[in-house]
Amino acid sequence: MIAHVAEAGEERGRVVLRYDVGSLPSTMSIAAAVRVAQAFQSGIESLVIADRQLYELVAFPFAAEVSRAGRTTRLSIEALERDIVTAAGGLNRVVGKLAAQAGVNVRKRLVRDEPLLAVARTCAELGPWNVVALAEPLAAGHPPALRALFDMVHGATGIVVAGPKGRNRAGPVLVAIEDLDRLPPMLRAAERIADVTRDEVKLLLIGEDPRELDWMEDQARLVLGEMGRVSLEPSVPARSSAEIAERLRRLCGGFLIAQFGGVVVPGSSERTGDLGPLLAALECPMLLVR
Amino acid sequence: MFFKRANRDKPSGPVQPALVSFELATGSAQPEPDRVADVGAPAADQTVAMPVRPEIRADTRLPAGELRRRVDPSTLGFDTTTDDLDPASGLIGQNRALKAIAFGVGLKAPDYNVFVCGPPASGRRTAVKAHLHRVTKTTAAPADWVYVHNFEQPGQPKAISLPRGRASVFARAMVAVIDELKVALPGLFEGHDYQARRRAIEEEFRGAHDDGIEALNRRAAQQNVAILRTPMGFVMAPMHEGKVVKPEVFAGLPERLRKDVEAKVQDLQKDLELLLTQAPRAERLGRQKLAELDQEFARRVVRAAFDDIEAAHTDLPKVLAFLAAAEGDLLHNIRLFASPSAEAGNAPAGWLDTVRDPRFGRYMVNVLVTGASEDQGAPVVAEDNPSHGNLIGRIEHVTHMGAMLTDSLLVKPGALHRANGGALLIDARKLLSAPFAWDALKRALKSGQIRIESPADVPGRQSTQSLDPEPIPLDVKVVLFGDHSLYHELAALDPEFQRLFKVQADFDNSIERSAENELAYARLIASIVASHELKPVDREGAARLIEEGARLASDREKLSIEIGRLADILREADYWAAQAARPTITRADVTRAIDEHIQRSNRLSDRSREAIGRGIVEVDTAGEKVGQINGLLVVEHGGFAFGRPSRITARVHMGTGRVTDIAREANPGGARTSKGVMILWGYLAGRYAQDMPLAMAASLDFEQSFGAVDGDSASSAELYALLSALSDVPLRQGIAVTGAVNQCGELQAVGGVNEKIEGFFDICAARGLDGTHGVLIPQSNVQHLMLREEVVEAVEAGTFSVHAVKTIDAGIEVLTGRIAGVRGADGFFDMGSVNRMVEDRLLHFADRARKVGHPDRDGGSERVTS
Repeated sequence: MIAHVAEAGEERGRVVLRYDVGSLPSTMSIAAAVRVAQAFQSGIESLVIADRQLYELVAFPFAAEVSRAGRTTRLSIEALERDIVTAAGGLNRVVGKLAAQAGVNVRKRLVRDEPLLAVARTCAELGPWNVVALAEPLAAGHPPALRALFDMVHGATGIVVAGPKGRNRAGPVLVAIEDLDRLPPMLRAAERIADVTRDEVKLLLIGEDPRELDWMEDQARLVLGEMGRVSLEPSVPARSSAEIAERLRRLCGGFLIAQFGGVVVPGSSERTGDLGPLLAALECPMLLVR
Repeated sequence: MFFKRANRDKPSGPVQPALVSFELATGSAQPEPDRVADVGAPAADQTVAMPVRPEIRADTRLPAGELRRRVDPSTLGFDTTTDDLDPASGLIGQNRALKAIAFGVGLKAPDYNVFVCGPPASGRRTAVKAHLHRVTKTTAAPADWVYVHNFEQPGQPKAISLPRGRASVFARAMVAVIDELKVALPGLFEGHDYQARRRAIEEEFRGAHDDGIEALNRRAAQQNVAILRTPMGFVMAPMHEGKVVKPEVFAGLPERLRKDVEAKVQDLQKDLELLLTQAPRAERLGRQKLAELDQEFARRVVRAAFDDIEAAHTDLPKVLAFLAAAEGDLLHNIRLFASPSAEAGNAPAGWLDTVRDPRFGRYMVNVLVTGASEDQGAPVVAEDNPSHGNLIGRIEHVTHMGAMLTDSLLVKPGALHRANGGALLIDARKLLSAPFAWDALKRALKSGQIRIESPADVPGRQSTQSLDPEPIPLDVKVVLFGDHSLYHELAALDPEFQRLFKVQADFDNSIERSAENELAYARLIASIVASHELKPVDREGAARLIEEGARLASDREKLSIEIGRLADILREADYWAAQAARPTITRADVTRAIDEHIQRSNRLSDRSREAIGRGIVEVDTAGEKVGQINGLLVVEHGGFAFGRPSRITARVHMGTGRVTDIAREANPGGARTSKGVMILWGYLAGRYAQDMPLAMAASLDFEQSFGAVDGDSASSAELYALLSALSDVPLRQGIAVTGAVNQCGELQAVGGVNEKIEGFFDICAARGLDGTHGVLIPQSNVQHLMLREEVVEAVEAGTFSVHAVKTIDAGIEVLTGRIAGVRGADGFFDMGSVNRMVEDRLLHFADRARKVGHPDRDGGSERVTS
C-alpha cells in the first residue's frame, strides 16, 4: 500500500489491525493504525484472532488457566468464549471511537484460527498493499514474529507497531533511511502521515561508512529539493543500535518510519537484543516497511 | 345635686339668655351679670350682642423682619469664594462627633468600634474618611499576609505574616524558584547520564518479569509443554513439534506418559503462579527505584534553586518552614517537571504561566494583603458592598470534570483583611441587608480573628472541595454609618451591638448660626466649589446659600450641614451661571437653582393647589364660619415637602364625653393625631368642667383628607374649631392655623412651619391677597421662620400676616375677634367672652344630661336618643 497508493492514489489496501486475544492491546498502537488509515484515506480491518489451539486444549483433563494475577482456575469453553467476546468488544470500542474521531471506516472480524495464518488469509482476501498493525505493544522478543509476518503475509507492505513507552501522538515524522532506494516511497509515506497532524518530516540517514553517508546525503538533498517541508538531520554512523535509539529519542518524533531488518529495527533472531534500546527510548509508534 | 355652685342651679322654665354688651377695646371686663343657671343652645331668633374687637390685636402680628433672617453680604468679608476664602478642610461644627471618632480609633481596645450617627448626604462619610486618613497616617503600617499550601494538612492553608511590602517579593521569588526548576530539571532528565540510569532500572525490572516468562516458556518448551495466552491469562498444554497435541492423540498415549505430562504441566503452572504473583511487587520496587533516581539527580538542582529564597527570608521562621516543606514535596513530585501540563500550551507566557499551571499551584504564594512600604500608615478602607464574601473574604472554586475544586490560591481577601491594622468604613444599612454579613462581622470582632468560611452550603454544588484556611488575627476599628433610628433599633434588638460598638459619634445635621459659623459655612461652600471644580461664588450668592442653609435646617438660628443638598444646589447654580455666561455664581443663580429644583419636584403641590383653586378641595379663605377652620398640613413626597391647607370641621352635641376624630376612626390617623385629640379632651375638662360632668360629644374631621395624618400640629386648629362649635362663635377663614397644644392650652412648636405658611400663602395669593389673610403659629415657632422672599414682601406690604401666639386664648381672639375671657374671682369667665359661651354650652349639656339620666329628680322625662 505504501508505495503504490502514494504513487498512484489508488484506493486499495487496508490497515489490518491484528489483535491476538491473548495479548493486551495498546491505545497508542490502535491510534497509530487509525492515523495511517487516515493518512492514506483507507479503512481499518479490525481482526480479532482467537487461537484455535485454545479451544482444543480445553479438552485436556488438566486444562487450567493461570490468571495474570497468578490465580489458577479450571478452563472451560464457555468461559473462554465469554472472555474472547469481551476482549474483542473492548478492542472494537476503542477502535471505533478513535476511527470515528478521524473519520475512518472500520470493519470488524472475529476469527478462530492460527494467528499468523489468519493475518495472511485476511490480507490475501483484501488484496495487495495492506498494512498490518499490531494492537499489542512491541516487545524485545518480537522480531522473529515480525519477520514471520513479513515473510508469510505477502499482501502487506508494512507493519505498524508501538513500543511500550509510546505516548507521543504529535511531533515530526521521522524517517530513518538505511537504504537510499527506499528513500522516495518512505518520504512520500512520511508526508502523507505528517499531513494528518500538519507536522514536519525529519530525515535521518544511517550508514556505517562516513563516505557512504556523505554520498547518501548528497543524493538525499537531490530528492529533498522538491520537498520543502522535509528537513535533513545530521547523519548517524551506524555504530550501535543504542546510539541510534538515543538520537531518535531526542528528536521527539510523533511517528517513525524505518526499514525492517536493518540496524534500527533488526529482523534476525541473532540481533534480537538490539531492539531493546529502541523500545526503551522510543516514545512514538513506528511504521516498519520491507 | 350635680354642681357645687348654687347659682348654677337652674331656674326652670324657658331659656332667658342674658343680653350683654361690653367694650373689649378698653381691655377691661365689665362687671359680670348674673349667670344664667341653665343655658340652652342659642335659638335662631335669639340675638346676642357680643363684645367685638375693632380689629385683630396688632401685637400678635409678626413684623416682616421676623419672617426671614437675611445675611448681610458685606459682613462675609470676601468677594468670591475662590480668591479670598480658604476652603474648609473638613467638617464644620462636628467637633463632638470628631472627638468621639478620634477617641474610638485611638483607644486600643477591640470593642471600641464606632457607630457614626447622622443624616444621609451630610458628607460625614467623606469627612470621616479624610479625618481617619489624617489620624492613621502616622500609625505604623500593618504587616502583609499571605496564604500558602499546607503540605501536612492540604485542606487547611497556612497564613503567614511578613513585614510590610515583602509578601509580593516572597511570591515572586517562589515563582522564580519554579521557573528555574522548569528549565533545569527537564534538561537534567533529558541528559545522557540520567537516561542511561533510568533505562537500566526500567530494563532491570521489565526484563526481570519478561525474562521470567521467557525462561518459563523455554523450560516448558524443553519439557514439550506449550504456554498459550488467553484473554485473562495463560494456559498450558502438551506440545509436539511446536504444536499443541490434540486431546484425542494425548488420550491415546500410555497412562504413565500422560501422568508424567500432567505432572510437568502442574509444576510449570505453580512456577507461573509464583512468577505472576511477584510481578506487582517487582513493578512497585521498580517505580521506587526510579523515584529514588529522580530525587538523587534532582536534589542538588532543587537545593540550589531554594538557596536564594531561603537566604532572603532567614528572619521569618514560618516562611522557612514553608520552603522546607515545599522543597521536600518538590523532590517527591519531581516528575511534575518532566511531564508538561495539558494546559501549558494555552497558558500565557511569563509570570502568570507558572502561577496558573495547576501542577505548581501548591508551591505558589497567595498574597492576601500587601503594601508598598511601611511609611504608608494604617489603611482606611471603605467597603461599599459589604456582602459576606466582600467582608471576610471568600474561597473560590474552579470546575474540573464536574467537581468544584479549590486550593490556597483561590482564597480571596475581604475588606477586613485589607483594613486589618487600620479602619474599616461600612454603611450599616447595607451591612444589615447583606445576608450573613452582620453576624460574620460580629464573629470576627468578638474572636479577634478573620476566619474565612462559607456562609451556607450552596444548593446544587455537588462534589465541592472546600478549605479551612488558618484564621488571621484581626486588629481593626470598624466605623459604621447609619441614622439615629437604626442605631436605636440595633441597640434595642441586638444585645451584642453596644458591646462591640461602644463609641457613638453623633453628627448634627445643623450647626448654630453665628457670625463665625456663617463664615465657616462660606468656607464649606468654597471647599465644595473647589472639589467639584465649579465657578466661584460671589458673596451675594454665598449669602443666599447661607440663607438656604437655614431654610434647609428649618430654623433660622441654625445652618444645615447636609453637604449633599448644598453641593447639588451649587452644581445646579453653576449650570445656570454658565447658561447666563456669568464667570461667577451669583445670588440670582442660586435662587434659580433652588426655584428650578422646587419646580421640578412640585408636581403634587401644583395639583393640590389646582384642586383647591377649582373648588374640588374646599378651602374657604374669606368670611367666617362656626366650627370650621383651615389647618395646615405638610406633605412629603420624594424628598420634597410642601404645605397645604385642609379644612377642619367640628360638630358638638350632648353626649357621654367623647371626642371622635373621624379621620382616626377611618384609620389613617397616626398615633400622634390621636394623642392630640385626647389632649383636647383634657383641655376641655380641665378648663371648663372642674365641677361638672363633660356631657358632650364632638366629632372632628379633616375634610377631604384620606391619607395618613400624623403628628399633633393640627391639635390647636381642632381645638379652635371645637371651641367655635361650642360657643357658636364663627372663625375667620382667612387665617389658617398650625401648632400643637397641651392640656393647659399652651401652644407648642411644630415642624414644617415654613412650608405650611407658604402653602396657605400660595392659595391666598392665587385668590388675591386683601390683607385679611394670614397664618396663626405658636410663638415658639418664630425662631424657625425662613420664609420665601415673596411671603416676606407680602407681609411688608400688609397684604398677608403671620400671627404668633402663646396660648389658645390668644389664638381664639385672633380667629374670632372676640375676647377669650378669663375666669374671675367669682369663678366665672367674662360675660360674653368665648370661654363663657363655651362653658355655658357645656353647662347646658351637663344639665340636660342630668335630667335625662335622673328624670324623677328633675321631673323631666326626656331621653337621649343619639
